[in-house]
Amino acid sequence: MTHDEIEEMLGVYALDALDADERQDVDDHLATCPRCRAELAAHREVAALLGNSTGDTPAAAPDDLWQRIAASLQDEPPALVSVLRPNSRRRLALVVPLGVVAAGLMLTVGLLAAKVGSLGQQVNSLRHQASVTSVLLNPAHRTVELTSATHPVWRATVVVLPDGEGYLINPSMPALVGSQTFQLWALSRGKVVSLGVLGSHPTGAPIRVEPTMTVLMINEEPLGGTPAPTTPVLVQGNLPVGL
Amino acid sequence: MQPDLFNASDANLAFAIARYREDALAEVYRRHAGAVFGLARRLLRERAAAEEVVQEVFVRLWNAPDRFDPARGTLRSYLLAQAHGRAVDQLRSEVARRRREEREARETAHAGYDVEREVGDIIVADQVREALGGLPDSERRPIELAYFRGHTYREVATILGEPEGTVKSRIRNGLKRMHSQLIVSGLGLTGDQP
Ligand SMILES: [Zn+2]
Repeated sequence: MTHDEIEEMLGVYALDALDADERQDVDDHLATCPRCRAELAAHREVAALLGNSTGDTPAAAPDDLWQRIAASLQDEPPALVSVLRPNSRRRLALVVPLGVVAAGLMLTVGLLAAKVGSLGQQVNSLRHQASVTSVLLNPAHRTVELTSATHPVWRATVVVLPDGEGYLINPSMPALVGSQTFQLWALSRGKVVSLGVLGSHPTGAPIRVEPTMTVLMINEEPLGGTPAPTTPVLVQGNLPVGL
Repeated sequence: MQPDLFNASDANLAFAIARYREDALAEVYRRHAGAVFGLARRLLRERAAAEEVVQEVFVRLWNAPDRFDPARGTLRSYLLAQAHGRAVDQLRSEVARRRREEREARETAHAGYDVEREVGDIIVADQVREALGGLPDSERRPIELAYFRGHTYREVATILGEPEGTVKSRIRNGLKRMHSQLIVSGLGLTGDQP
């Protein structure tokens, strides 16, 4: 479809009044046409105002609905002590070599962003990248390398702050095929606890490290994860004492 | 809830949500769920269906907070747009169509019911109402049928007995007119006028 034809549809598009097949045509065109994107943005502002004007007083959303929403956020393998979100398709994509950052804490985030771009990595989550960057720029962060005794190329890095906020970044294990997933575990008070599943081809994930945890490990498990490890550890690393 | 969240900007809340702060999602719910619920309810009429939409919208924000881009508009606009899309999808599904027909049949039996409802529906924020009301009927009607009734423009064309192309242009022109009108009334719209 031509720009002129698409342009005519932008109003109905902004009101969700197109049929699905036409919506696709507009989406395709929008990806390439800044003029249409600008016009659509203006239509959407108007639509938002219409949507915001549906009552004289904003109806209070029901409290019990919030309870249901909060409960549904935990819809993950119930046996897991899961602080990850296994279904998250967002990717951590900070790939600045850790040494560079550690050596130069005065680097600005802007500079980091430029480096990320120049490495040509897929950055589809600026927000997450910013989170990882803020951890890396915090002088209190510690870095833990998870390595393999048998496969030197299998590695993953965890950066973590004293409050336990951490990120798994740059895992380099080969992608799993079929119905397998990587799963992250920690040794805590002599017991192995699950931190959550990472998917078959993880590129990174946020994690929460508790003070009682001493070792982090990743292994391979059936899709969905298991409550206790069933296969050998692939990579592991010791958390610093007194984190 | 922690006091810092209470004072956090929407962008900061979205940021916290991306970092798995459920209390941040709760704060977003406190701020915006009422408006989201209001819009969903206006479209779907049924409370349960509207709640379902609210739930979908907030779970989606939790699962994919990156889809909200603070540079492109407010969090509320984003949530409302999501809710509108979901609600319209529901309206257009077969099941919903049947439910709606049944309800409309019931309502017809209670004469006057729908009329009262309509009056309530027309209560909209003053400036927006003014801008919408200031449009020629030929533009206002299709916008209302599409946005508040969830009709596709083809359905709107059938309802109004107008050619589809005409409906498309009138909606577009009406939105442009409202945009400039709302800029004049200082509603804080940004962006170029199309
Ligand atoms: Zn275009």
